Amino acid sequence: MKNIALVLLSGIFLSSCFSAKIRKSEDYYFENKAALETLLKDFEALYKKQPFAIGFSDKRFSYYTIIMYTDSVRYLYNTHMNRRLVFDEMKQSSLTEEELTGIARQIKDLKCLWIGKNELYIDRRKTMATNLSFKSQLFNHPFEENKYYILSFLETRMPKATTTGRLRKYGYHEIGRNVYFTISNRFR
Amino acid sequence: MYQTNEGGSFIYNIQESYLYLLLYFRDNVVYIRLLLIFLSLAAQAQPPAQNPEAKQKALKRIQQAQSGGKSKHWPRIDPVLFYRNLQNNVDSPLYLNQGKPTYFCGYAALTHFMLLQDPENYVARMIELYTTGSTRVTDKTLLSSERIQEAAGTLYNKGVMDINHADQMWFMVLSENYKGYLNLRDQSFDPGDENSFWAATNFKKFNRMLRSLTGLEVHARGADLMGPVFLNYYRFCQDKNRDHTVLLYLNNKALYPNKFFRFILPTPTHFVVLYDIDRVDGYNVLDYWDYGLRTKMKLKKRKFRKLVYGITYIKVK
Repeated sequence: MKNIALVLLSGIFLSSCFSAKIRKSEDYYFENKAALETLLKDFEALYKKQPFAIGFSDKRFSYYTIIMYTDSVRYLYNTHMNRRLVFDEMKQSSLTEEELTGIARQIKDLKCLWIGKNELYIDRRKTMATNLSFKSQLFNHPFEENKYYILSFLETRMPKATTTGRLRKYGYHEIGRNVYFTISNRFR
Repeated sequence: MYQTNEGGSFIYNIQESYLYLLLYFRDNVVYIRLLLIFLSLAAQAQPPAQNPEAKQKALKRIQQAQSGGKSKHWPRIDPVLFYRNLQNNVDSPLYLNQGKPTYFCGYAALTHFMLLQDPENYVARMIELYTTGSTRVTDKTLLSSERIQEAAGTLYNKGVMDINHADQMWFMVLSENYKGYLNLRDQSFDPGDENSFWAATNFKKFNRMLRSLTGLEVHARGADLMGPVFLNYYRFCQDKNRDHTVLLYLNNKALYPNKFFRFILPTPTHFVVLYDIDRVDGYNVLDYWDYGLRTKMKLKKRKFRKLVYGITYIKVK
């Protein structure tokens, strides 16, 4: 009986190691579209009050990393250090602990690792992109690849030339109106 | 009862805001000390100031050079973007940005230092490089290959670097002219190499570049695989920061910690310019420049030791 259990367990373990590694693609966006749009709307509202980026720093989604931006300084906080201290220090920011905890809950529900804004330049004009990072694979494996699936929501459309077959080289793949995804080595 | 009509809701909101105000003042007594500590932290550290005379001379030199127009050596560089970039760099060195996801952080950190210390020298090197395709530094002549000349001005998807043509030219020329063991496998430039080991900088190469570009006496502690063992990093950095400029070689993954995957190499990956270091409530408070902004963060003492691999310090004139 013991041997059978051992064989079964080994089989499950091996199958999880060697089964096909399917990356997230546009389907992932369409399946979670409603939740993603709500998250974006809420993030946008808070970002107008105070530019910031937020994400998790561990697999269990327990500790946040928060970056607050001013014109010349970025303040970096991690609740792994001391959660109370982090929120005490942030009292001078326009964002409340409740607002940040609310957005953190939303990104946790989506298993999103990081949300923030980045500058892009299209035809030499600045445009902002809101980026959401997830693990690149659709299913969890014991040996995961060290890559991230990043959804980018742009203010303006990208020219076609930059969205063609450069997916593996930090290129973008269009999946909706001003919505793109890419696979990247970095989550921020 | 407060949601029966608009007026009721409004009264409720007023009462609620008074309540919040009262709570705020009550809480304020509790938090005022913390706030003062934080504000004092923010106030005490100022970024290193440029010599105003040198800055004005550098800006004047840029204005004079602008009439030269487009360079025949750099066909893809837009002269308007080039000179605007130069001017912005001299005006506000803080906003110098190497872009993401490039391997240009080492070059950006030393350029930030040059802009603070000797903007005239920086501008002279840049203008000479732009107009003649090469420039003389203390111990060698920096040359530019045809590949580099064709590529500078075409980098894209790097954030603000896309329009910073002077930075593109400068960083690529530095990558090409200074080589370390990390560059052995990839010695010549191909499109996309700005994101690869072609552009990487190890600690020894970084210090060599600083000496070569500035002619200053550069001191360093640490190495690529291990930081100095018998050294109190906090005291050392704080002590040196009084009359030196301190540049740190550290593990960026530890700065922005994540444990999403099992295998993360404990190696240094990033160069920053340290503005200030202090200790508050048992935490090290780090204030440094990187990616076009100042960054302020608190770190546990042990964590600080874990993330620093190299400390470079240069006597400030």
